[in-house]
This record gives sequence, structure tokens and C-alpha cells, in this order.
Amino acid sequence: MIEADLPARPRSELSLRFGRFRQNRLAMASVVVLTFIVVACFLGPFLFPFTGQDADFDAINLGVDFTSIHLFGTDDFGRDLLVRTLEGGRVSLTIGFLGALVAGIIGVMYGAVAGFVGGRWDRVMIRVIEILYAFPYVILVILLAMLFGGGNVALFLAIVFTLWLTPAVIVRAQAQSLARREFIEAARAGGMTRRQIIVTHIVPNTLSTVIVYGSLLVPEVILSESFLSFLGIGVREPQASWGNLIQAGRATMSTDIRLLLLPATMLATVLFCLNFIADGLRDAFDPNDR
Amino acid sequence: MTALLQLHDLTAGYPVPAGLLSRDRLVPVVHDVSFTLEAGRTLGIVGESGCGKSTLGRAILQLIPTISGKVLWQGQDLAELAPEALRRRRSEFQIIFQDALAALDPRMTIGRIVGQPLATFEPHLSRADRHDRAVEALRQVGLSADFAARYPHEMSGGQAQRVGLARAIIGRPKLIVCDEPVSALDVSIQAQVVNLLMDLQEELGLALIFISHNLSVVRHISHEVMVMCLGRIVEHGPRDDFYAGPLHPYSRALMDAVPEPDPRRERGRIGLSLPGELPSSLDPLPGCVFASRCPQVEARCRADRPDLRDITPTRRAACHFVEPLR
Repeated sequence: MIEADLPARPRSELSLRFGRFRQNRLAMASVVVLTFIVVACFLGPFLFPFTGQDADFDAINLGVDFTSIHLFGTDDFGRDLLVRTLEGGRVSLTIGFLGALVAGIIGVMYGAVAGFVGGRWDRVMIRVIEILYAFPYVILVILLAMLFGGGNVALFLAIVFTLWLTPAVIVRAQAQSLARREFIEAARAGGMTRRQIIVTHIVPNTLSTVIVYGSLLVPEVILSESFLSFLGIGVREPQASWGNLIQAGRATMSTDIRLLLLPATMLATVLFCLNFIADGLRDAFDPNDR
Repeated sequence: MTALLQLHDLTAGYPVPAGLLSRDRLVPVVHDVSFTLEAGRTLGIVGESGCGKSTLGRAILQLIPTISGKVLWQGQDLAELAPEALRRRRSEFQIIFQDALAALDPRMTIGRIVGQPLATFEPHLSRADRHDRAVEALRQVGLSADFAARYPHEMSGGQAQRVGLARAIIGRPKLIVCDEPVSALDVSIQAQVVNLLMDLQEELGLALIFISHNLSVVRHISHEVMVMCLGRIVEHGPRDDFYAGPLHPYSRALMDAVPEPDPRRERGRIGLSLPGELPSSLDPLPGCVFASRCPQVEARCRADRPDLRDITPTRRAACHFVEPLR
């Protein structure tokens, strides 16, 4: 029996890599800050006796005053700025994470099938992606938003529709190189069907790449939600999102920068955190970087 | 009794991309291969890199498409089996690879890798039973039960090859195609793995197809030797006859290419290396596959291809200059 030189405890590659990620201070700090913001956005508004849509006409355009109930003041309808920003964060973060998740899942499945099955199926599937890529992004989103009749769902679908393409291309390339590896041949010799091979071998082996790319996809989705809401084709008043809050803040920028500063700072902080996390994940997962 | 494995004029190859909507074209890599393998015997296949040895192994196992000809497994034409029936039948013929580590999914534990084929071959088994069988297979290849919880990146080359072998034997096969199983290993480990293969062969009554370019390993393990050149068989015969005196000029060139341990004799040998270009397998010439490099070449070698003829009742060769003995 061979028992020599085995490490004390078996560890999967994934757990080794998350171990490396945990040693990245900036990324771990970003995780903490991001968690704090997410919790604040989802639970914070319950601490106040009013919602972000309640207009208090006795308290219009209040300034920053940490002793009053309106900590960061109110807007020109008397709505509390902090609560609106937190509620806007709820929308932006939900669309961001959910959009990235859905776009990621569609992209991974599409790419894994195209790359592994290959042949004429692959040729047709990749042509479809290339055609969709050729549409200018903003025009496509505007058309889709109009097609779906506007609102949050339309915005969400439009974002997913445009953002699943890149993960699909990335995963397809991975699946193509995996399909030629010996362990896939061994799986075929072991009698597995194509579907079983895609689910048990191809998709899990693209996971490192997908985690890294997915972490970059989240800020991308949040940014495009904010961008579209800023242009007025996304989340609509009176519902708040970081995009339309920034848009509202921009209008009063020269007289009262407060309305711009709070949502913009939140958005920027979240984007920084997500990018630092993505960076940390890439350092931990990228095999070329060692 | 029908033979375990019979090939009739098997031609097989790989798909290459065709037009956008059309099916991939198949480019043949091995041509017109016929032979018979009996249960429990070892056939060594030798030849230089790119001669189609590995392709032949994969074609036998139906891992790449057959273009023409037949693979008869215990008399059953494998191409005629429905995909579902073929999947279950695969337990009877398995494969181990040159790059043993690449043959293990890095995300799975060894126990899961080894037990995986049972999900298809014996679907009634419970998870626990499957694990027990995996541990049992690991024990058969000389690995302790501790290995079941390990991951491939914790294995050495020799251990990885043993894991691959455990996966191959778990479905109780009758044939294992060994595709250069030891050429990536240290010499001391090579001997261990080859001896393990021979022990398992005896214990389980396995037939082996042992693909290698290492003539001394093939001599050690094989009952019969087959020489391939550019996708065709050029010589086939019993091991001892073959090593006593190869018939085909290509076989002799292969033998001569084995380095001499004695440096003085090694120095005198160097002039024997082959001149000439290796022709492309995608664009075959009409004549003998070895014509462009053969020291004995004549005009007719370039014009017509010699058939693989019976030279003695047990030996075959494809060369115009090797006459059948009467």
C-alpha cells in the first residue's frame, strides 16, 4: 500500500482558493463594508417611522442635521433623503445581484453546451451571440424597455438580455478546452451521457472563471441600472434607485450638492467594494498569476 | 467460440469543421485495420508519434466515429448498438491514459472519480455501496482506503495512474486499452505500473491493448506485437518472432532507433537514423506508407501499396520484399 507524503487533511481546490482569498485584506475589508451596506439598505428603512415615498410638506429641503429625525435632510417634496437612498439601494442591489445571477446562469449553460457539443451546433450558437453583440447596447436596451412596457421588470430583462453574452463566450472557450481533456474522454468511456458530462464535469470546472467573471458582472449590472435610470428609462419616480436619485441630485447640484452626494457616494462605495472583491477573487483563482 | 474483439477493415478518424450548417467532415487517421484479440491476451501496438496508435485505441472503444469497417465485440457489431445499450456495454471495455493526472477531474475526490462509472453500469447501487466498491477497486491497485477522500492534485504521477486503473476495473471489464500508460512516468514507477497491469490481467482475466513507443516495455508485457505506420498496420505477429527478427523495414528502423547502452556501439549506430520526410496523414500518397523513408525503396513501392499478407500462419507484414514462406 502506498501511504507516503499525503497532507494531513484533504482539501478541494475550491477551499484552497477561498483560503487564499481570505488572506487578501483589501478584499476582506470590502466584503465587510459591502455586507454593512447591504444590511443597511434592506433593514435600515424599518428604523424610521416613514417610508421614502412619504412627503412631509412641513419639512421641505431640510439640510443635514444629525440631531433631527431626517439625518441627511429632505428633498423638495419633503421626502427623507437617507431612507430614499437606502430604499434605492435595495432596488439597485437586487437588480445587480439577481441580474448578474440570471445572466450568469444563462451564459454558463449556453456556453457550456455550445463549447462541449461543438460541430455545427456550436457554429450556429456562436453566430447568434455575434449577431446580438453587433447591436449597440443602449439602443437595444431602450428598444427592449419599450417592448416590455417599461418599469423594473422590463429594465431587468433588458439588462439580462444584453449581459449574458460575455459569460457565454467565456464559458464556451473553457468548455472547448475542457472537452479535449482526458477526464472527459474517461467519462465518455465510463458511459456518461452528454448531459451528465456537461452537468458533472464541464460546468463545475468552469466555476473558477465564472466566480471571477460573475463578481465583475455585479458592478456592471448595478452600473447599467443606474445609468439607465439616470437616463430615465429605468426605475421611475416615485420609486427610488441610485440612478434616478443621482439624476435628481444633479438638477440641484449648483445650489445643494447634498442630494447628489449621498446616493453617489453609496454607489461609488459599492462599486469599489465589488471591484476589490473581484480583484481578490481573481488573484485567488487565476492559475496564470502564480 | 467467437473472439473477444475482432476488427474488420476499420477506418476511423476525427471530425474537422465544415460549413456553418453542415455536419463536420470526418478525416480518416487509421485505415483498414483488421485483427483478432482473444480474451486474456495482450496486444502491443507500437509506432512513432502520430502514426494513429492512440486513434485506433479510441476507435475500438467507440470514442471517435467509425468511417467504415466493423468493430465486433464478442461477435456483436458495436456500431449497431443503440446509444443507450452501448453506454451500458462500455463497462466491458475501458481505457487508461498517458497523462494520468489530466484523466482525473480536479474538482472531484478520488473516491467519486473511481465510483462514477458505476452510476451508469450498476445504477441500482446505493451511494454507500458505490463508495465501498471504489475503495475495493483502489485496494486492488494497491492504494489504501484513505485515498478515497483525496483530490487529484494531491496525487503523484504513479498514484494518479493507479487511480485511473481503479476506475477502469471497477465495472469488471474484459479489455483495457492502455494508451501509453507509462511513458510519462519515472522508470522505477513504470515497472511498478506495468507489473500491476500484468498482475491484474492474471487476476481478472483481462485482455490488454498496450499502446506504446517503448519497445522494451511492449516486449515485457505483450503476447503479440503490431506495428503501425501512418495509420496502417505494417506488421503483426507473436512477440518472440517479432523481436527475433522483424519483417518490415519500418519495424527494423524502429528497433534500430532504440538507444544502445554501450556508448561505443551507440556512436557507430547514429548513421542508421531515417532520412526523408514523414508524409502528411491528411494527404496520403498512393504507394507504401513507408516509401518516402525506406532504405530499400523501389519504383513500385511508390506506385502501389503492398497488402498486409500472411507471411507465416501467425505473422503478417505489408511489404513487397517480404515473401510468404511456403
